[in-house]
Amino acid sequence: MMMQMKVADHVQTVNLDNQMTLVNTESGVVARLNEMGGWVWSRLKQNASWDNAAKEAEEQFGVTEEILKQDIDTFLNQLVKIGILKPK
Amino acid sequence: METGALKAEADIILRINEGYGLPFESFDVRIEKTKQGTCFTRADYRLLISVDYREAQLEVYDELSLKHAMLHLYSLYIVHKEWGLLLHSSCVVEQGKAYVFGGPSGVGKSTVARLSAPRKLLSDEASLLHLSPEGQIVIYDSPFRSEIPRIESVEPCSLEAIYLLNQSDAVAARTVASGQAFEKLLRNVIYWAHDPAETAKVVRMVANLACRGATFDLFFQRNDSFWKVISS
Repeated sequence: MMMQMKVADHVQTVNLDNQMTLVNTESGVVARLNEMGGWVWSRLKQNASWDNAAKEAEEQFGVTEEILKQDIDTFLNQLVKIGILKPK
Repeated sequence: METGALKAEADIILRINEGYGLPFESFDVRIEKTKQGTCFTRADYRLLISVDYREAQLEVYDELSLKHAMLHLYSLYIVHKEWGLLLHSSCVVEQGKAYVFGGPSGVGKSTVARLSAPRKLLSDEASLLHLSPEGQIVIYDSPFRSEIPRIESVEPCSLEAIYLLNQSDAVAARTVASGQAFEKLLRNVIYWAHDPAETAKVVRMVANLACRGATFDLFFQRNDSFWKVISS
């Protein structure tokens, strides 16, 4: 699922005080990410492997693989809906 | 002086014509891009700025349209140069430092400015912030005034803090974390987004402003007791 998405053009990431905010400078959409959203976004931007993601998420956020998958799905769908991500 | 010579010397050449359009109707602006530049049209003014930002043509209905159109042009130009921002706010000088009071329309920006008398004012509705490449933020005397006339020119002052206004029964100031400050300040910028690369400049400048860690939520009553909170 993650592999089929890409960041839309003109999206800027602002990371201040551990608060990540995404701004689409074309549409004007501003999205403030929570801690887990910021973690997923960083992985997306770095094209990081998702192989060890479940283990890492469990350590960092205390969530199971199943919940992680659901959360990521919801998160990515929301970002597509507001034009921050688009299908590849 | 001939236009050619003027062009060589001036940062921007502005031509203003009267007799355009209708009285003020709304703040809605239509934006069109042409080969010549970008055109911003409202019922009571039309502003065309060239692609290189060296020439602008302004057509206005009356004095109010002229003021709004000049504010519009000013904000486009200082963002294009990454010189600074216009912020919906008033700005008061206290002991040589600038205190900015921002927030949405009607929250009390002018009221705070009035209640701050006899302190000098740098603005009552649109503060002019210069973000230097060295990281300094200086507030200049704003040429755009609303209810409080500009009676004397005031020297530019370094920014001490930004207070985001909230009317309340209590008087208190709370630090706003920089991530949140970024979002709040972005909403206070006077700017007509028309090009992603230009808007990216606004985003960069607001991020610089927010990361200074000098943004507060100010809860205030309609008297000058908020200055005690600020001073402390």
